[in-house]
Amino acid sequence: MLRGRLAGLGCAWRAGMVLGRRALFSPLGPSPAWARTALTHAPVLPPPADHFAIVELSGRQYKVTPDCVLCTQSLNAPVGSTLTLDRVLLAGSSRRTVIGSPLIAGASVVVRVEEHNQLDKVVVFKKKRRKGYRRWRGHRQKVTIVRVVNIDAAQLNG
Amino acid sequence: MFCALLGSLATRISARTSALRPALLLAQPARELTTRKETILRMAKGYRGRSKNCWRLARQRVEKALQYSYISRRLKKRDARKGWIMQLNAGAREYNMRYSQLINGLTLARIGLNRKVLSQLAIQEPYSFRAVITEARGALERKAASLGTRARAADGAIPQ
Repeated sequence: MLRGRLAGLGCAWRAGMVLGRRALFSPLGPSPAWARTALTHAPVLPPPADHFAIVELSGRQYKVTPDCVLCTQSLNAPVGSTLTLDRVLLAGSSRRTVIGSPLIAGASVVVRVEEHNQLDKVVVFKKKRRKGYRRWRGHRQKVTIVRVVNIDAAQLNG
Repeated sequence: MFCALLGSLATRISARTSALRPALLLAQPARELTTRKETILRMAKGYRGRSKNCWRLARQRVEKALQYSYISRRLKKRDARKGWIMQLNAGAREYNMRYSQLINGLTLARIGLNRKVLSQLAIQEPYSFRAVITEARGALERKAASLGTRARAADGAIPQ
């Protein structure tokens, strides 16, 4: 369990965070530093992918690569289940880019629900001076952590 | 054999725990209760001067800080959008196009990518970003052609 913290990396999840690597266009290729982290953090950070997609999920757009992990808004799906997201706006590989107008017909991104969790607590404090008005509320945003299983866009291969 | 052993062990442990329950509860350290004062003083750690130690000052500073953070959570969204727009403007200008023309072209081309993702493309996927620019430019040119304003295009209203 990640418990709001990212296992092994020591950094907290933020809403909308995407963890993934894509080093297609780097003239130098994967850096030695990345190669080292790849060994220690392999379960969390996937190796550089050769294609990506931009997919819309609950009103937000994410740039995803195969095997990347993203922190989305709470989804009503059990852990371990897979979801097929068909709102793909763009897909790209090293050879071509497919742009949807606005969506790519037939393309989809399959994600697996890894975890339901909450972000760190945020104190919502409001106050009006000299009016006796103060509100102290704790808030923990519900998030779902999903892993991208597959990016399916036939146009990329055509 | 091993499982049976484990099972008997488990029952024995649970029997012992239930028998010793009141004693165990007493033996356990009291649950850490934090008062409101402690919470606020902890939040004031690292503040400058007496604000980190004195209750009265700490409370004032923490309350003001929390009000600022309430405001800033909203400002953060605006600032992020401003940043994406600046990034996009710079990216578009590399292809002799202004930000406003890019957005107009994207609307005409019915491309629904948002500014966050477009700026990501501009930084991380230069080839894909160029493809998006090309689509936007094509849409602008088609619009101009349909309006019969080729002359305006030649004047540079439509970037080439």
